[in-house]
Amino acid sequence: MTKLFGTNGIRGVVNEDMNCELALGIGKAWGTYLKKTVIRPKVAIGTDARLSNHMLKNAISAGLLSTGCDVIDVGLVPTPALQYAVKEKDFDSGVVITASHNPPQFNGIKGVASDGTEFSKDVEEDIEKIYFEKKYSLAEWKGVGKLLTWDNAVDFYIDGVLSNVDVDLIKEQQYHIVLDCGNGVGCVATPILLEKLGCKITELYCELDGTFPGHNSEPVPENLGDLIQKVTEVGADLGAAQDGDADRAIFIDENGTYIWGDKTLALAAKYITKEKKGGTTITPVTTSSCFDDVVTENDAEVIHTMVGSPFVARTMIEKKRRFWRRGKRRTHISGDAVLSRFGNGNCKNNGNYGKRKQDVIRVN
Amino acid sequence: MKLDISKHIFRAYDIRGLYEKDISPEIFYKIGLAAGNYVKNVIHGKQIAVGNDIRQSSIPLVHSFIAGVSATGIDIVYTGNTAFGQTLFKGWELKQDLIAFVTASHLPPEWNGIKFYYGDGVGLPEKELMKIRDFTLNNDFDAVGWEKVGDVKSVDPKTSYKNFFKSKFKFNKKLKVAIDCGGASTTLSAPDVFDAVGLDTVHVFCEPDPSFSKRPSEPKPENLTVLVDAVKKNNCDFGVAFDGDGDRSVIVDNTGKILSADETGIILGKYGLAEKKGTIIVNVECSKAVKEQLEPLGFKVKQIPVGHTFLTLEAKLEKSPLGIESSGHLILPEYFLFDDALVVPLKIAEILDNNEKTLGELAAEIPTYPTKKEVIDCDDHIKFDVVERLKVELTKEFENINAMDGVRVDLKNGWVLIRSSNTSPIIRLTTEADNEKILGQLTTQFMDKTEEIIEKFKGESK
Repeated sequence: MTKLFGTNGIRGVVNEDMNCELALGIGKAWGTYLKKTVIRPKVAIGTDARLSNHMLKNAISAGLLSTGCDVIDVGLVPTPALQYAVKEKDFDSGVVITASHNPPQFNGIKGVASDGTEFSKDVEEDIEKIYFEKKYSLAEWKGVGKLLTWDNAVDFYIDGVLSNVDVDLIKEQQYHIVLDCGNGVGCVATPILLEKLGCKITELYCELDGTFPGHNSEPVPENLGDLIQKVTEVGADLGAAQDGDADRAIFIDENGTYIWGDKTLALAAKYITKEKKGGTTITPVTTSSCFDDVVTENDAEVIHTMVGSPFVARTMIEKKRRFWRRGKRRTHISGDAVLSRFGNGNCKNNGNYGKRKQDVIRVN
Repeated sequence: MKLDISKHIFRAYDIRGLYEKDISPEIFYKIGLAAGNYVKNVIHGKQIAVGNDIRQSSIPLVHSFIAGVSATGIDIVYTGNTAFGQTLFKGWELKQDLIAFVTASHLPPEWNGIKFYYGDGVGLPEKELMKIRDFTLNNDFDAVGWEKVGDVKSVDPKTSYKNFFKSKFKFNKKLKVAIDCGGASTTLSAPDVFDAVGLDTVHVFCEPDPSFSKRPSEPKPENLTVLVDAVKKNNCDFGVAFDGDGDRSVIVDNTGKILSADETGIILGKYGLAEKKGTIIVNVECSKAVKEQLEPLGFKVKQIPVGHTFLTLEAKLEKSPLGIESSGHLILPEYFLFDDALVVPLKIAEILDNNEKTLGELAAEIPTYPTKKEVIDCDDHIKFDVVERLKVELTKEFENINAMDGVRVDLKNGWVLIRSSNTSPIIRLTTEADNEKILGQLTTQFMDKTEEIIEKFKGESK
């Protein structure tokens, strides 16, 4: 069992349990782990917009550099943008400084493997073991890593999403979307993405602010009163809300009804399995049975995994099944297998299917 | 976090040690916490500029240092990989409360360290540095809550630094200068700035080479043979070599002669300062030629203890036009107080632009006196007492005594300075005289005196 890594990385209250000493040590353990298989690992590091992002990024970078990893700072990015970059680009690993939807006093560290998935439990255990035993392999002065910056991670990600959807079809619809980024890091990507999809956007809390002044960062109904009200007030087609690191999106339909994530997933799965005429779907055991209902209707198989996006992604890789993009080479995890953790992927799919959402919900 | 930190890394002017031996990212994280605490609770400031030299180990060290400062709630402007002058300039321009530069100056590449300056360009005196040392060793600092964590902003100082010099220097002549950066940090500043102000340049080791494989980063005469050849071969008006971080420069005249810091300082004072007034600051090791050459022009010359932090502080207090440290730190406060070595060659170029003579001719007008530097072994536990006793005895014997840093005796035809080393079990004796004969006599006389006192102490301790 891992002591530090929880379901989605290491989390804690800043400068209490989540402090620079921990980050520095984890950086060293991480680098030591990577160096077992790669001579000169390249690690991309990005953060959400929390106030302690720079502090922790500096600390963990120092640890990675001291083991001889090159660190590429990609700045403020949605978690999926970093995952996508790690998968598509020549990075051996990725680090996201984020506490996802937790309150602002929290921060954390998420690990990304070279294929873009979140670290498996095995990797997290290995890193923790190195950390607790302090068996670091440190570079001497001439072997320490270099620090580079890469400013294009967000654009690269937006282009990646656009290349996976029918842009013209979405543009034709001229959707009006109320977007609530909750002052999280989605602000740097989602408005641009939706604009490129020809959507009219009404923004709510789309200014970066690590204190989350708009509302708590978790996109649950009690935090989204303003969004729900705005959707009906302006007569939008859709409302969308993201969590602090924009790896989750939640939707409000045109009547102001909050759609639970499971239903959004089921909605997308329904249409994709229909289009693909079946296939295999992978989802955690906590997913509503509405998911099973809609996909089995389309002759698709369902595999249930333990809870946590790493398990879903790993299972998908292990089964070597293509989930929704059968027959295509680009099967990037965040867009395909882990829809519920891919904030912008959700938005785009709603662009495609949003008009028919009510049908799906009636299924259940 | 429990760490074994040697207090010896904290030196009189800076922090220095061998990477992953005396200093490490963990230790720099703690020094960052201590520096943040110093800014917050001692000088009651809010922000700090941080940069680092080109050494490879500077990267993990600077980022852990920044993490530490940030944890105390102090905001950081990070200037990145720069020459000393670029970071100092940015911190000064942005009126930061403190400026920290990660470097081991001229030491070999396996070393690293950190220097601290205030935002006005004055180096932290030893007393203040020791406060940061004590905070570090005693874990005397607090990490703030999440909402108060310091912000980190990256700012590239290169353009504003270059533009500053462009606004200050204009040349009518086409002057040709050979630049020797030794592959070190001034590769990031000097070639760019010299081009921008319109100097013709010949590059010697101007490609970044963080392991200093082309020449050692100490610009001693024996390390500058390539530069000297380049000056002569290319008929340059002069040449300049920088140390590892760029706080010291050495000027080579058009004949290939390497000038001492004193000679360079005298030329700056004689030809480079429009108004011949004010107090020029020199340390106790400087040649008597400085006083002889500059006082008749209308300047006052004030002696200060050895160390560039005294230089910047005294220059500020005295509103000096020039400061000369015999080790090679030269300051021209008409630009700024900190000892950015880049101003020296630029000022030399300005002097040549306004003067018909060559630098070799100007240098030849300055008398040079023979000097001698001797080292006398003396145990650490008595070396300071020996010098104290010498002060007492020499004060009885001679009239012109300066005891601010060791003891200096000024005589009609020369002078002698006796100081104990801060770091090694030795006492240093420096002599300068009108001629070799007197030099020999003075050296013997004062060496004998010193050894006599050492013997007395040895006898007493038995």
